[in-house]
Amino acid sequence: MWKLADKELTNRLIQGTAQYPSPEILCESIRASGAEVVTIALRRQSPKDKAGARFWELIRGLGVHVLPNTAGCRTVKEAVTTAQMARDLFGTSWIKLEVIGDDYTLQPDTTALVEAARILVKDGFEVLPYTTEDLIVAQCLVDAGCRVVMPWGAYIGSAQGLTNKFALMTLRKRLPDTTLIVDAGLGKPSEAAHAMELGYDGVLVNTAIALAKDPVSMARAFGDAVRAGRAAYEAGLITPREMAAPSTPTIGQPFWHSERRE
Amino acid sequence: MMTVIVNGENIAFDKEMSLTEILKALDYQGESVAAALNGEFVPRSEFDQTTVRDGDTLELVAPMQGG
Repeated sequence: MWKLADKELTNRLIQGTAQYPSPEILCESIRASGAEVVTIALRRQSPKDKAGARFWELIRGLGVHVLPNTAGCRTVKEAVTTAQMARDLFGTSWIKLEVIGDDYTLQPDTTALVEAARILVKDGFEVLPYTTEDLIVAQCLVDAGCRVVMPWGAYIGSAQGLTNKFALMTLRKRLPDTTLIVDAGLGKPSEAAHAMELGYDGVLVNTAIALAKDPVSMARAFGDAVRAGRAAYEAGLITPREMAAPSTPTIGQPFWHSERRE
Repeated sequence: MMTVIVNGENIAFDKEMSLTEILKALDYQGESVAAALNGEFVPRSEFDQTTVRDGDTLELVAPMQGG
C-alpha cells in the first residue's frame, strides 16, 4: 500500500484516458494495468453531443479514482477556473494542474504554475502539478502546499523517456518527503521501471499505452514494469562499479595459480 | 432579444434568463455540465440564481478523455 495525497492505493501507475482506439479498449487497458487512478479532462461540448456524459458514466463504472486535469490552460485564471469546474463536475478536489507556456514543447509556465497552485491549495484543492525537473520550482510548489509534484520525463507524448535522469535523481534526494510522480514523456515500460528504481513514487502514462499496437498488452506491461521497478527500489540496488567483481567465489577454484598474465 | 456567446458561438435568446433556463433551452443535461460565466466559475448549485445577460460569454464544459 502507498498513499497518494489522502488516498491509500496499491498500484503506482496513473493512467491517462485519451487517444485510445475505443472506449472498450480504454476500459480493458485500465483493468489490465491495474491502475487505480486515471486522468480525465474538461472540454466544450455541444448540447447534441452526449459523449461527455457517456464517457463519465464509463469511468465511474470502473470504480477508479479520477484525477481531472487543466490541460491546455495557458494562464493562471484559466487553470483556476477549469479546476473549479472540474471539482464541481467530478466531485473531487484533486486536480492535475497544467499551465502550458509553449505550444511546441508543451513546457509548463512554471511561474504561473506556482501561482495557480498557491491559489488552488488555499481554496482546498489537492494540487498535483505537472512541472519540469527544476528543483527550485518543485520546492516552490511544495512551499505552496503541494504534497505531490509531477516532473516530466520528457515532452508530453514524445516517448523520449527520462531525458534528464540526474535532475530527477536530485529531486528525489532533495525532496524526500514529497510524493514524486514522473509525468509525461515515457515511451517504454523499461523507462517506467527506471523511474521507479530511482525512488519515484509512481508514473503517469497515457500515449505510450493508448497508441501502442496492442494497448491492453502494453498497459499490462507498464503495470508489471512499475511493480518491478518499485520492488527493485525497495530491495536496494547495488552501487555500480568500474571493474569486474567475480560473483562466483574464487576460494577453492581448481587449477588456481597465483601467477596471472599481465 | 439577447445574444450570448456560448462556447465561442453567438446564440440568440428571447430574454434574459437564469443559467438553468439557458441550459434547458440549449437541451443540455445539467448534471454533466460545468459552467463559467464571463470567465468566472459558477457552481451548479447557483445555476438557478445566476442570470445570463445580453453580451455575456458562457463556457459550458463536459467530461472528456485526458492525459
